[in-house]
Amino acid sequence: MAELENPSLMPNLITYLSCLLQKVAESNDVNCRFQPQKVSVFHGLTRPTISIQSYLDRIYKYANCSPSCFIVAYIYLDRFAQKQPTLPINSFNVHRLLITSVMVAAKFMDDIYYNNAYYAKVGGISTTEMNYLEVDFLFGLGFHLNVAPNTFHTYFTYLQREIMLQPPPSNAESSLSLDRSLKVHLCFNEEESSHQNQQQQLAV
Amino acid sequence: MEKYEKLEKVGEGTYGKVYKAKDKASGQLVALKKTRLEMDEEGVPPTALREVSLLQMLSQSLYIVRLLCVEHVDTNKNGGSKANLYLVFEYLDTDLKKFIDSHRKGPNPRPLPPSLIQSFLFQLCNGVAHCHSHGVLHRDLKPQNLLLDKEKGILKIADLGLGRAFTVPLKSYTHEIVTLWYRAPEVLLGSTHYSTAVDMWSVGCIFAEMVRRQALFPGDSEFQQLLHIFRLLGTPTEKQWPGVTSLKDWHVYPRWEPQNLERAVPSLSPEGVDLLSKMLKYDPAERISAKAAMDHPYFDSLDKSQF
Repeated sequence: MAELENPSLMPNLITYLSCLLQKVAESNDVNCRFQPQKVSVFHGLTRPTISIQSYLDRIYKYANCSPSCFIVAYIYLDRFAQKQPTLPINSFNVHRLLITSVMVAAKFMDDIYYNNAYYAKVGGISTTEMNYLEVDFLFGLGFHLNVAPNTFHTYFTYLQREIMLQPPPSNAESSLSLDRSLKVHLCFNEEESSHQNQQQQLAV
Repeated sequence: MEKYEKLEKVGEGTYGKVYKAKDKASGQLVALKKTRLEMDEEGVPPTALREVSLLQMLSQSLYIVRLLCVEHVDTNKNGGSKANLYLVFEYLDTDLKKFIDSHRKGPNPRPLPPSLIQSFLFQLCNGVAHCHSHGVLHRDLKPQNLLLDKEKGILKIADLGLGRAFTVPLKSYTHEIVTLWYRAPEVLLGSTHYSTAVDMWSVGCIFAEMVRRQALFPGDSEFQQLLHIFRLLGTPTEKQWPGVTSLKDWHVYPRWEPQNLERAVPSLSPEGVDLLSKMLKYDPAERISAKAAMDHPYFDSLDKSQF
């Protein structure tokens, strides 16, 4: 994957991912207007004022993790969207989901990484909240963190191709479920925030 | 966690206490690995995070310890909250270190039966091959991490806390891994791009240790560890191992000639010595893979149908 070392790739990738997430979030915002939304720990009380692009730029600047981590974080968000269809990405939760997925990717992938307190600072939230988000994200993913080489390759090639076809996210059908989820997964009215359950369990 | 009755503390894992416990409903014995999630700066320890996700993927092998479930428990006491993560594993009564110790000292010191060594090594290679085929390096193979069911003669690999996926490009690997005695020379010499061969070096050391009932290379510092290796296998040369002298931590070492490996493992059959020598090849590219090891003539006399 020598392409990952290409210095112009990362800024383009960050821009692309920001645009994509913004599109997904906005689309789900519209869908959710018609139905009350399931609330998760990722859901902010207000819509954060910082744009997704600036937020992701900030994470990229300070997290200092492997470029692969951003691809892996994207894969995690995609898995999360598939496994938690009732928790679509929207403008209220996208920032928290982003900082959590990048942090978990770095912790899983890199031997050297910053701790939760550091990521909390980068993400503009408290360490306690960061810790809660982490646990919920892990259980939400069913701890499915490993990324097989061909999966990584598939996503990477897809992202590379999309980046080349500027302007970033087109409205065309995408093969990835993060995009699909925005069409399929409307919001459901389920009143269970994952932290009301005192005990979470993962069957293996 | 009321489902389980804690019986006794059986050890300290990489990131917390381990208890022997009983599932009250089924009576099944389990090992509970507790990770405190105090509201501290680290969050979920990366070792726990890796162990759970890797074991989920690998647990279907008979030769990898089975992770039964993961539980997150939040207890609210007197306004303060305490969070713990419990990893629930199948329980095995002993590990290879204790087993070897019991054959070395105690009331009845005796060698391990050769057929048992052969069977354990085969199961170990089987488990390692399973990890490697899923793109996972264990990186901390040692007798303490190999759990045994004595009655059934089964060996299972445990403690994947240092394991990692090796398949995507990453920042260079740390070499602060693997207990010194089982650490491969390329790791000791500061190589940053190592591979499945590091696990096979450890397997070789464990093989020799079962035969000798004592560690093959018991170094107490990284430097001493290298000298132990060089004294037995000879100081490596560029010819034997292209690139060795350009590794980060390479220095000029005394020039030792290779000793006869048989003398280190006198009771081992010639096929066994041959397999061991292939596991202890200096050049990682030449070192035998777990899968190839399983086909080595040393295992010809083993009834493989039982595995």
